[in-house]
Amino acid sequence: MSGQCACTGEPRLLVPDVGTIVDVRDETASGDVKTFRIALDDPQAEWKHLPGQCAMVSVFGVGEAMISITSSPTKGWPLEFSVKRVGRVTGALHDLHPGDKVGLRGPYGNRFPAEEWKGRRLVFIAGGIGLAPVRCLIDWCLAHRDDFGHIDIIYGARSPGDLCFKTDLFDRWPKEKDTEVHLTVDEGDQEWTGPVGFVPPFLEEIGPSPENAVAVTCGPPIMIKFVLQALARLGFTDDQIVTTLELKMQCGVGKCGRCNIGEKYVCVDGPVFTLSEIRELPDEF
Amino acid sequence: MGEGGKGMAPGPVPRTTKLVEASGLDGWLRAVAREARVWAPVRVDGRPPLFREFRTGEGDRLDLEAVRTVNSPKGALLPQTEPLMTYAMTKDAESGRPSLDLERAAPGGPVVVFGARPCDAAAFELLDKVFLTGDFVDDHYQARRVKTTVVAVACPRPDEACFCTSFGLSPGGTRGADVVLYGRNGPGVPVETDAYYAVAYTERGEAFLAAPAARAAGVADVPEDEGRRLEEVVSAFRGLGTPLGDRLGRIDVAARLDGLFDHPYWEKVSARCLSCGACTFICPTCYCFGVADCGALGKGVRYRYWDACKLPHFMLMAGGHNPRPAKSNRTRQRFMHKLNYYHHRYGEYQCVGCGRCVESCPVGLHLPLVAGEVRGLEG
Amino acid sequence: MPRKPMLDIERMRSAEEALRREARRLLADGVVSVFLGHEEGWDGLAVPSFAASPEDAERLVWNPLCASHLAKYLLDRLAGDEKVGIAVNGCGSLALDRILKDRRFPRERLYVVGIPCTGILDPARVADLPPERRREVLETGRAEAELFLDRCSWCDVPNPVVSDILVGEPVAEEPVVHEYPRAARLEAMSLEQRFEHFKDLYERCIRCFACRNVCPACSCRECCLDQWEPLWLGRATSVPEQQMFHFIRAFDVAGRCIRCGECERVCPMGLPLMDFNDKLLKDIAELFGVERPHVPADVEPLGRFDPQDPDFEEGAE
Repeated sequence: MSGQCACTGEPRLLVPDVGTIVDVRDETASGDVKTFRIALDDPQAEWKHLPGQCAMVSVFGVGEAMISITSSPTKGWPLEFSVKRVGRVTGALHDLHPGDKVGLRGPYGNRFPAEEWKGRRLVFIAGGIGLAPVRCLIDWCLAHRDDFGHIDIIYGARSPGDLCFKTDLFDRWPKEKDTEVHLTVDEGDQEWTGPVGFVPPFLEEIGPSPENAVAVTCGPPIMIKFVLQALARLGFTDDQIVTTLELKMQCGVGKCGRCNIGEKYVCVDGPVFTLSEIRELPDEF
Repeated sequence: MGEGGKGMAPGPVPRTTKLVEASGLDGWLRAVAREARVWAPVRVDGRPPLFREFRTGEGDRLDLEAVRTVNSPKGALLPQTEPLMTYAMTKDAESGRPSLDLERAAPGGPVVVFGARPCDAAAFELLDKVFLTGDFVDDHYQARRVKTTVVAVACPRPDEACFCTSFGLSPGGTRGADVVLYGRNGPGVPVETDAYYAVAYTERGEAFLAAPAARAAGVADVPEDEGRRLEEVVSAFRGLGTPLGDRLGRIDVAARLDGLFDHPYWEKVSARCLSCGACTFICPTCYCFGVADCGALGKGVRYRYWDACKLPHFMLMAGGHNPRPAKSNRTRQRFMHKLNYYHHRYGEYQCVGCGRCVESCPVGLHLPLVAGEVRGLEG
Repeated sequence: MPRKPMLDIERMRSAEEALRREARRLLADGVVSVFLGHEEGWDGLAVPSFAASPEDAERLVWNPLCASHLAKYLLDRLAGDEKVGIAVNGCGSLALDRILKDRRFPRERLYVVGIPCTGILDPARVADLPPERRREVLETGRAEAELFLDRCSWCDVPNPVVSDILVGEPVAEEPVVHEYPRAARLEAMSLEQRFEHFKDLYERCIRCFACRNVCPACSCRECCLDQWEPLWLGRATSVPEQQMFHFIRAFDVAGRCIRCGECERVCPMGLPLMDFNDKLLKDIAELFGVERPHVPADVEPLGRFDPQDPDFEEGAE
């Protein structure tokens, strides 16, 4: 864990480690999502994360943003961060190139409790950039493939060009044992022959059984809202549904008060919550 | 939070007790300021008293008479703007490869907070819970905290905005203080006290009273025949009530608030809110902050700054989503945080009853009002 | 010559009664869905009130402590098309006029109840009085000039300039010779003294934005001081950033400032914020010969373009 100087062990909670962008990959046709591979300049400072955890990524002179780590812990460093250009920091990050310096501190937050899901069937439901944190978990589960039952990956994006992680979607994941990838787009194009439509009805069409299953979902708020309704109709209980929350964060360590909802701080008590936990929280997302 | 106050358990055991003439305080402060940064209630000209760094050369006058300073002393431990680090981008002359140097900003040397009211001293302990507990310890805060001596001064005349007793504190409380000064004439005396009993409750406080600066300023032993008077004075301060606290009684509304999140009350009470940050910035227990970079051309500083849940932009996310778009949402957050969320997380209320929000809110929307009103809400 | 305001408690009481009656009627008949006035708050303080029913209207007060202007609260009600009732006295109507002139709220959605005004006390100054004296002042209206809001001393607009109905007879308007004591005080200082004066102000400022949020002339949809991109105002409270903050505000409201002094009254740190406005008003008076740039009948010297302006060159950019 960062938060202390690698050489002296002296604590430095809000001061990042220096990292270098190793490479940058466009995920979408429009270029609004890019995946950055980042290595720490001091290998001694490398930390280990768990699926679902995040890190604060700094663009020096601009600021920091909390970004989920999209590469599986089983793959080690450099870590991958898939970032959509939405604001100041993500915009500045998008303007950087391989070799440029960034800051990293983390890992922050809780994790997907995947080791508690041994023997269960897994349903991953994601939309757009929401696949980024889930991808980390999918790869972790696939690295421990025998621990789990059937895996459904249900993913949608606005258009075929907006599907992220195409190599995973089309080449890697479908080849895994007992794993199905179901893709949909809001609007097709000339080459798209797959399903067209929003994720929630698509999910109901596929109709994964809730029996001995866990559903993990992440995506835009409107998608989540209807996915939760669809899952309920399929018979999933609140305890079987896990999601990750996104809120404005500044410190990442439960101090600055920014991501405070009820008695929870999303940065340290989350970002992963079961739906039953979320129902206990005030509705302020 | 119990300590002192009416019918409360007695306070901690004094380690050392000294006597200091009121006229010696200014000199004491100046002597201390040679070795530490001193924060104190100061008055310059006729302007409202401020709690800030005591500037020995600039006509600052120690003001222990004002019931409260307009701002709180929290800036001593959590500065409104605090550099966290500097960064500098350099390029290797031969390879052209960039490298980046980060340097953690030094949190600064020892601090003496001199003349804080017992409520403000207690507030430091509420900040401690946030910054020093949990999985992460805030090193900048901690580095200052371990070098901070808090010298509180018991409150002789709590005014109509004072309600520390509603949270189990008292005008003679010792919580968060290394040393407490008790006016030798006891509470309620309308003239300036001529001398103070200086009682150390911690090792740090004991060292402070034994330091050369204290001796030079005439901090002396208490005459033997004054032992009884000392006890009476201390217990009189401890048992002193507060006008607003007496009106409100004990505030214990955490359980009451559990079910009030969706109550229309928040909409109603917040309608007059100006959405400014006055109540949070002057509050000794509000701690929310932001982090920002300042600089360009590969060189600059990252600092943290006070931020406030009352300001509309507090939670605004990149992309434009704001989870608390209305001032009713933000007003509810502030009071729920102090009277419910903090209580659930840390086991006590995030308010010390200093009365600053009562004095400062231009539209009379403050904690005692809300704490009192939620008791009577239905639903 | 500064005006010597005199409270007329009897007049206020009858205005209060008429105000309640009017608000009750407007709410009962559905003319407005909410009525903005004042009600008694903590310890007798008058606080803004938002009456939504005829019963709520019973709580409305009009008394010497009703210092808050209400027009800025209209911005909270921009959404929707409900009609809003609002109580304004003379200076309150200038605040309303400012919001209307800046086109931040449609006049059609307003029903304005005007209250001719004989002066308002500064609630903080009243609160500092001994309880006995406080009661006496509020009951009899016998208050020394120092207890009034500063703005009462230069008020020559006691009667609302915007209203749909008046409660009470208009007050006799007396001409006021405008003076700028704050500006004069600044001008009397040496450069060094002035620098120290403002440095002290910047150091005390906690940047809570109370001054901006209460100001009727600060009504931008998005304030540049809140923007991150571009970042006009760094979040550090260093002297240069504070200077930027106060300069932007002062110049932004120059020529539109109604000289109400609410910025100064709500400042938790007691900063002399009217120093900025007073100086700019004095400059406007001297440069353009306009002493009351905010009063509707007068010219807005910084809010008008004149092609005959000697400094204007055709085709110049």
